Amino acid sequence: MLINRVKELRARHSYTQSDLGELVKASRQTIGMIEKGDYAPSVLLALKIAKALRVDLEEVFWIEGEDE
Amino acid sequence: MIERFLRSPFTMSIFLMGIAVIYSKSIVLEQRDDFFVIFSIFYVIFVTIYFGMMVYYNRKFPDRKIRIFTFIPYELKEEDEGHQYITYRACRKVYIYYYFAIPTAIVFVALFKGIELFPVIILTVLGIGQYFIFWSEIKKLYE
Repeated sequence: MLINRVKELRARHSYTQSDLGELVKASRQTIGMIEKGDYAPSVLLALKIAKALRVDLEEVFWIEGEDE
Repeated sequence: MIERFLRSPFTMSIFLMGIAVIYSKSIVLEQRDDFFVIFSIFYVIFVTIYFGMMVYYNRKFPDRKIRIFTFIPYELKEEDEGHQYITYRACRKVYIYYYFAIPTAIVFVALFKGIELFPVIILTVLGIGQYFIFWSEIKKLYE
């Protein structure tokens, strides 16, 4: 299962879900579903999110049971 | 809120039930009484309001227009990959539902062939079931 800390990193930048959605060209609902773990984003969207949050991909997303 | 109403599977259920009642009364039962006339008027008003709201919505939100003339049902929302994923899940559930519901419906229609209205009732129930299953999945988009 894909784990993420989008919510935490988003809060660090004071972004709302809509703000992050605008940066990565996704809807607020999609960001919300990713944060809740309801949806695993495509590689492209994951990379865009990591870039928007100014961290490496592995710092935002990782597989459950593996080291962060 | 307007978009939610316009794209709601429940709104589509109202359309479906309206058609079913009008068809049943006028064609199957041949009862063109006061109820039929009043119901038909309300139905026409509802349809007019629905498409009027759609025109209003498209003017207010030109960047999120809903196509009025389209083969894609209004309740399908596929603005990005997250929406597409939820729609895929919802459509999959509806397919599985029909996989079992259609044979079951055929059996019921055969069993109750004496009831004149039964085919209309069963088709309406199938349709409402479809909208309910679709809604149960896409409601995630509105949470």
